Amino acid sequence: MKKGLSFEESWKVEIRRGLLQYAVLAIVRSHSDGIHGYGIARELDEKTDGLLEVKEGTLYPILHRLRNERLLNVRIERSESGPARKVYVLTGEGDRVYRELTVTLRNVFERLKEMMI
Amino acid sequence: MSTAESRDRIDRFLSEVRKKLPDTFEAEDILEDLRTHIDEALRERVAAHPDTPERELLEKVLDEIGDPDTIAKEYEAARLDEEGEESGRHRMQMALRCIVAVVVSVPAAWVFVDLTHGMLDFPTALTVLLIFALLEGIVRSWQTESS
Repeated sequence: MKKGLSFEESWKVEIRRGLLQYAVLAIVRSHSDGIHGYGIARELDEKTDGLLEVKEGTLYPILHRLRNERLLNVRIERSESGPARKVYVLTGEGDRVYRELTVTLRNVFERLKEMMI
Repeated sequence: MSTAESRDRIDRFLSEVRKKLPDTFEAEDILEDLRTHIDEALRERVAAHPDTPERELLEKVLDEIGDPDTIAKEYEAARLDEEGEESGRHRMQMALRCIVAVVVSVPAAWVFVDLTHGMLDFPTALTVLLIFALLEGIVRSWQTESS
């Protein structure tokens, strides 16, 4: 008897995680002054049209991972109207990784498109 | 500004998430991020829908955040990815350290034999130096782990 996720469900989870990391790097990169977590979540939803089915809370472990990998930096923004916010900025290494991933993804999608019937 | 009822609901939600996460500084940081996110999302919704009860808006915000189990699973997956890379790097460093130890110990053993005018033969000198290198490696990795 099968337990847990079906094959296609776990496949989607794996694919989604990688794409999500890429999408986060792309969004942060498009904001040279940086962007806060809530802004990233909103843009992810708008730009992917809900395709990645992201629960917003799952974004933060991903942001932490990207920080630990030194792909993102954090700046603290103080505000009088609310609590201090973390503003995420792409590092030089983050930019290099993003560009490399873009080339890889483009190649993969081109090849896959040819395979799709 | 959120009401006391909302703050209480947010606290309860975050405490549920807290229970599912390991007891680390990083987990505390994630909870703080989640709180900021919820506050911000709620403020924006209240401004956009002033006639809707705040309680209702907060439930929608929490639904979009995801349940504590989902957040904890993502945290665990991100942590395992990092640990995998970290142990790969660690193995590479250990292999490199062994190669360097052997490369340095061989000429050092020759020098040692020469300085002691043959009182110690080459295999013994090499073994002693390699044991020193091994002990140094163990102490160093112990220091790294405890720092």
